[in-house]
Amino acid sequence: MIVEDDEGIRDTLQFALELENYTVVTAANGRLGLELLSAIPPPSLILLDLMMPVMNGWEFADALKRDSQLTRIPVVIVTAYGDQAKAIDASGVITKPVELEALFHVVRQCAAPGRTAGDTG
Amino acid sequence: MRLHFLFAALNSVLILFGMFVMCLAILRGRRLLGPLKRLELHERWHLLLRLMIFFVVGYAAVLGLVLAGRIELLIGFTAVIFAAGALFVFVSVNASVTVTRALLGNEEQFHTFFDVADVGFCQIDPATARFQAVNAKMEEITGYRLDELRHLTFSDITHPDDRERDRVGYFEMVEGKRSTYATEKRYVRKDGSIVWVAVNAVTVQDSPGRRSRTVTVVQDITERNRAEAEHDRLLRETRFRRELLETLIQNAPVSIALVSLPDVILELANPRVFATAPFELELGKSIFEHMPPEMAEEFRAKYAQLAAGENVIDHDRHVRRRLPAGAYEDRYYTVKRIRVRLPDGRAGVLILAEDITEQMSRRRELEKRVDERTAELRQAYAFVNAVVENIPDAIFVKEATELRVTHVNRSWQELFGFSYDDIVGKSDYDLFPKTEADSFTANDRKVLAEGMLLEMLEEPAHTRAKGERILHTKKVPICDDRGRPRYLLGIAEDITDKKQAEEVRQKLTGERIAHAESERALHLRDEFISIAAHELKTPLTALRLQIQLLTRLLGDIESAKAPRLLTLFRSSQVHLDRFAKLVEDLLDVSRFSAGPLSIERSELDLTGLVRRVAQHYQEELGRSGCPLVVHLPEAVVGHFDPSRIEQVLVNLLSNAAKYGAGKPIEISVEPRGAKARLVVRDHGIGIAEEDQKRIFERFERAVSMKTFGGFGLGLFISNQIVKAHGGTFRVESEPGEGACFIVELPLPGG
Repeated sequence: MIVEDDEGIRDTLQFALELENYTVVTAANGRLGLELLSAIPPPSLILLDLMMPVMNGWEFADALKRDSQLTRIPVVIVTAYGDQAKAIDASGVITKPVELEALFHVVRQCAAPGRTAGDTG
Repeated sequence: MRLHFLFAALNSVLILFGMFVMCLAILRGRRLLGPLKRLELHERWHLLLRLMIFFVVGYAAVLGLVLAGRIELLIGFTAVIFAAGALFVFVSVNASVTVTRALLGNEEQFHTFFDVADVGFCQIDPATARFQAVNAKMEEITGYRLDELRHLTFSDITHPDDRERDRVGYFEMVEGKRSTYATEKRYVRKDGSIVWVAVNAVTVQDSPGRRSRTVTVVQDITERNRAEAEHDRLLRETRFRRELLETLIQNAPVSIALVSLPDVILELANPRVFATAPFELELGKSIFEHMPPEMAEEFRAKYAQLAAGENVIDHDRHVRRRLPAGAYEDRYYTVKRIRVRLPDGRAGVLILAEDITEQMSRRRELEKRVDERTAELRQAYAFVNAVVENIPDAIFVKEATELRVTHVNRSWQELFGFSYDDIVGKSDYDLFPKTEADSFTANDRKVLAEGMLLEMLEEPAHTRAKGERILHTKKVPICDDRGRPRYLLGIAEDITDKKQAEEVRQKLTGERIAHAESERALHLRDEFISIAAHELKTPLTALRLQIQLLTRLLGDIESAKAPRLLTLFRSSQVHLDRFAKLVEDLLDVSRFSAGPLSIERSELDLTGLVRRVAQHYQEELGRSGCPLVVHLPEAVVGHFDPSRIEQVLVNLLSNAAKYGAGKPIEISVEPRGAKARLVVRDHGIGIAEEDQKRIFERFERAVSMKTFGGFGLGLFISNQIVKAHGGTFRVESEPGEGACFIVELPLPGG
């Protein structure tokens, strides 16, 4: 699952991951992300931007932490503000601009291709 | 017959008339019969009674003759009766007078004595206790006249307290129980005053058969009593004074002694003399009897002086007395020897010695305290003087009447260019131009008149040493105990420099504000750079992802143009990487402005890092034409932030390639003691010495922007990273000789 407000980045990431056989869902901000999470089975991984309108990445991460189910989902921060990602207990941090290979490497560590929903192992 | 009766009647009348005349003569006839006046009243009555019996008998005989008708005998008989009567009276009176004449003769003398005596005489009738006769002195003593006293008894004028005792004593005498009566008693005089009298009474028996009378001698003893009382009083007083004197001498807190000259015999001494004398003394003996010989010489000289006529000798004396415990006691005396004359006329010496040990001790204590206080005051004065003399303000003191200077401190002398001796006693008119002196004097007078502080914030003054100066002056009066101004104290601060400094400060403040504004502008710039970098990152990310994705996808396309497109995409990626690095550099600059760089250390082998980076940049270095020569040991392991150290290495290689002029670039890593040393050396254009320090600052470059691009941030960022690791970063270079950048990083255990 990708939570990213910039449409270009969001679509490119989605496209790149789908090419790698991942099933990807996207949300344009934290609020929409939470709504989506309540409607679908938990994803294997969440790629989370920090600077977003409506609900930012930090608030979204806090909301996940408060939910006993959602808190188990690994979260990788994708941000231009690498320094500020430290406030969030994340599985990984990818700083923008994103190196595609580095992205795949991190994603592969957290989720096997073709598995979007269901258990995360 | 009728004639007989008529004649008898006439005869009776005659007899009766004769009797009347005789009675009158006896009772009242002092002048008629001289002797009669000596008779007492009761004697006269006695005489009259006998005469009347005679006449009654005679008259009966006359009546008998008439009745017998013997008228012719009547005339003759009557004549006989008269004659006989007269004879009887004469004989009786004379007999009585003769009996008492002897007595009366003495009594006349007595009366003379009685009247002139200086003591009071009185005669009292024992039957009535009334006064019968008193002399003039008695009248004087009692204050009553005789005719008043005749109606009074002696008890009437006796003091009530003495009355009963006196009465009893008197009547015991009258009754014959005692022959005389003597007492001392008080009379209450007519004027009410009291008079003391000594009374001596005696009963007088004039003649046998006559009633006794008492004669009393009264002596006024008031004066005597007063004199006796005065004598007693004087005696008591004398005794009291003697006792007082004795008490005084005995208890006096000083030693008092009296010696007679020339042998210096101790005639009198109070106990203190014996108690304090350092040797034994005895009354009636010479004081030299037991005096130690070493003292005697001195004392003999003193007494010789006094004997020779000296009146007073004063001296102080120190006596060391042995105490029972074997210790000594030091006592101090002040001794006065006064030459006197003793009551028996001999010369003597009165010795007065006062123990002044305590006084001495107190005086010493006092002197000590005075010394201490004086030292304190001197110290305080020295302190105040030091303050006044060394204070940077100019201080002056003028006396209040003529406003002449009495004191100036060093600062004043330095400021005005006068020495202390030049100035003391001078007035402002001797020292300053008249207009200034007028102004100063007016202010001085105002301060003294109002008794209040006057402050001149800026007062121009002409000084000999420093020319025209601006002073901040305070003037205050110094008053005496009664509040009258005695001095004028002035404190002047030379504010000329301060004013100038204030102007400079204001100018500097303006500059500081400008600097702060420029700082703020810099901050705003950094903030803008940060925001701009972050904002640039978003499209950059999308673009980069897309290029990467396209590059990957191109592999799947089979076309003759595919290899060219691939080259194009890779070129785009290189440019995007460069773009990304520029953005990252900008972001780093804004980070350094915000605060110290935070680094995340982990174990890192520097040789491994160098190899990886060298390999990664092989292509870029190849494009610059600079061959890379790497000198690496097996491993140099430390705790560093890998990404940041890589950033440093990339910056150095990038710069070396940029300015290396196509010549070889050498890179080496080696451990140097506790440090790891990373050296990147090129052989390019080099850096002038004046530029070498500057190139580590942000946006600085040693070369023209027109020739070489870039932000000029690489070395600045690298330097910050090395500093954050606790390392050092320097350059060694000569223009045209290339540059050698040396990074030294601390190793664990260093």
